[in-house]
Amino acid sequence: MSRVIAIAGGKGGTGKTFIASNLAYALSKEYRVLLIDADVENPSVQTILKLDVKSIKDSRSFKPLINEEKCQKCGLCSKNCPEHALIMLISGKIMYFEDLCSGCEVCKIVCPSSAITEDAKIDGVFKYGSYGDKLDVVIGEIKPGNRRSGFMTTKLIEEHKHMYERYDYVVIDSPPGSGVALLSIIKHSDVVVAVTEPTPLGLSDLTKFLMLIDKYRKTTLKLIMTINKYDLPGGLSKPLEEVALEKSIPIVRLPYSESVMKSYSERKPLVDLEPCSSLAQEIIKLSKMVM
Amino acid sequence: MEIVVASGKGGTGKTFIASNLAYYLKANGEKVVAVDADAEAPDLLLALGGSKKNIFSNHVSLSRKARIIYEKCTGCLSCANACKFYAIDVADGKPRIIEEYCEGCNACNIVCPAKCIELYVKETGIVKCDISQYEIPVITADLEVGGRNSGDLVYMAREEAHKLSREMNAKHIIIDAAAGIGCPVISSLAGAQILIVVVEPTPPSISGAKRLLEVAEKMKIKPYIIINRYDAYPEDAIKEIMEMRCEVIGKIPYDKTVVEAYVNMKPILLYNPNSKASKSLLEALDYFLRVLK
Repeated sequence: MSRVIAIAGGKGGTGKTFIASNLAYALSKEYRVLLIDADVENPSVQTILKLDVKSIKDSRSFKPLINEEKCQKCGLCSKNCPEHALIMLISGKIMYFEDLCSGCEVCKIVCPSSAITEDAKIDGVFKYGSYGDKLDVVIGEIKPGNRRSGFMTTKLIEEHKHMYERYDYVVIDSPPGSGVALLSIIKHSDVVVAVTEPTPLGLSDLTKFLMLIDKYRKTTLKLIMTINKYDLPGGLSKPLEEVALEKSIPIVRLPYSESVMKSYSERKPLVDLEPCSSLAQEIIKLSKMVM
Repeated sequence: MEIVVASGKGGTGKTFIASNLAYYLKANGEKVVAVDADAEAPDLLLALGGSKKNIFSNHVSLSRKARIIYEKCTGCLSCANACKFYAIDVADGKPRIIEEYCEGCNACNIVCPAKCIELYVKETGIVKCDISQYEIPVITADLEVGGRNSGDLVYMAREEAHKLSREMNAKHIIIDAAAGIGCPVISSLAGAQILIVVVEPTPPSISGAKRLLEVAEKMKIKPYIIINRYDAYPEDAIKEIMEMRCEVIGKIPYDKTVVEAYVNMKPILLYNPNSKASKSLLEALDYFLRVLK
């Protein structure tokens, strides 16, 4: 049985990718680990870990191919298209706007003359790679300009969850936010690490994220709060500590460290570069808590 | 004029720049409306001191969803086969709709031979208007947790901002965009005139900024760059930003006053105008507004 750990928390730039990469690496010392980069709008695991990318697969979805000879100009496709991606001109010609199309196939279903067949559009890519022997990585990356990142995250999770059983641990690096992308991640997770920072903005976004958790949490879900840069000069951790206390959420406090930049430039995890540093030690502590 | 502040990566200082730009304009006697378009994690009002007075809060319901009338369902599962969005599970031979994944496309309803599926409309979120402590009107898009359609909510927030700016005769609308390059960001950029890309000299932020600039080019919006915490990271990263062929309007140094200002819920230009960050920010904003003229 694999254990699925989501690194999330609402606010952007709190250190989710850093923690996910280091946590996955720390676990991979003893276990088989899969790291999923689910921040499809700006996947960044690769900027932290120098990966060996083995294959790349397009993420495709349906797009209509209209056979003008068969088309009876009835306009049903255009009328039923929920995204208004098909427009019928006065001449009866159907115009297609790919950027608006969700790939729902309703046009194909309603066409009475079978004039619409399946074609594919490419929404982005899935990359498959590894870091060392025991850490495999899957990355979802959306094509710039594509509006469907929420669905692409859902698709990334739903299409790859069958791989989970091959691993002891699955670590998911989430995008910021509290919408449907996050829901599809926490839905299949056993542990959620909510990463935040000691500012009113961190608190506000965490509060909204915890609303998402409360609304959808499974009774078995384990929640851990991680205050990153808890010692940030001028910062204020107390309100976060109060939330954790009130909701009985265990806390991990990660200190600010200049070594993070060094790990960026070497593209190696800090847990590997400076295993004795207090930041690395706290991440190792976190890796014991998620077990 | 609509000025969008965005970044590709989260946490690089979008709200920091947007709140201070709005405050700077206001302090210089210009009328301004601010929009928080980060509907999954809205913070702009907080950065502008919180709400002094709520003007309106509109519940927006435009998310279509499907539901099954089980008395009529024969368990044929045509619906589950038609759904392309993982929104229909099958348990004990019966379909079950996962409301959050449902996009309301109606495919399940069209294919259902028993006519046992109906559509309904669900709340998407809230669009609200507040006057902040420092007298700046802020329109906030706030998405229901687990929700979709944040782009629609952003469009509605911008429409409210347009209305208000006409009433007030405000020249500037400042839009604090969501992190990333997805639907809400595209909805923030569509039809706006100017984009400020906030970037830190770190690899994830630079990669996010490049992806955002690609979107900006497609959408024909004029981009400018502000480098935040430019001195907290190695020099060579700055070089990479300079090579992006986009005008850099300012470089803000790392300064702990930025966090202190947030903790005190004040724009830094008000909290401590003599701080290192304030001085660079003033210079950048002053230059930027001259460029715009």
